[in-house]
Amino acid sequence: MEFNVTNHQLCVGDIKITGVASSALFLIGDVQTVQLSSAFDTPPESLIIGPFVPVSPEG
Amino acid sequence: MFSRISKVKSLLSDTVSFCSTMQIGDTSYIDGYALALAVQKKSETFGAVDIQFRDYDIFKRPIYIPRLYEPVNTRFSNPNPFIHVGNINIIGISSSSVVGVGNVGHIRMESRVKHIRQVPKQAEDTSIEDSTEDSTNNA
Repeated sequence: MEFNVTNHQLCVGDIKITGVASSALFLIGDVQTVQLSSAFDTPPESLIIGPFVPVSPEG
Repeated sequence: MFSRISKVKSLLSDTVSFCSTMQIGDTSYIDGYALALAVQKKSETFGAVDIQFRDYDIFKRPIYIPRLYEPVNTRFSNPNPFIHVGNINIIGISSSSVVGVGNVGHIRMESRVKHIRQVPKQAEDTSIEDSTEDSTNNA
């Protein structure tokens, strides 16, 4: 595959961001390669109803 | 290869925490990695909890990386060699995040977050008073 890119003028005004979190990336510039991976888990099993103080391990 | 120059008027952040980076200038590699166990409990005290990342599958499973099926020949030309950006205001940068100005070679970022909620079994004795009840007596 041939992929040709021509970068003409790029002018951005002001940027307001509340938060950049959990291995997120905010970049002004050129980059060769980017690999992002994210896993988030909050299944019904993670809701523990009981008096036990230490959190019991589960998948 | 990289010929563009990033021009930012100002860069402001209130908080940069938990191994986050504010990078100004060109970079060869960025490798960010964050693991988090978020425990929410209904308790007056929140002491040490004996939990380990290895007890949960989400921290063990391999990450998915899409495969390249064919070689891609890329060619860039930059008639305008600048990226102009005005004022940047970021309230918070957290958990191995990166805010960068400049060109970067290769970036790899990974995040794994596990939420756990723990609520007591017994209904608490602190009964909520019904404000609609006996309203005529209060008058």
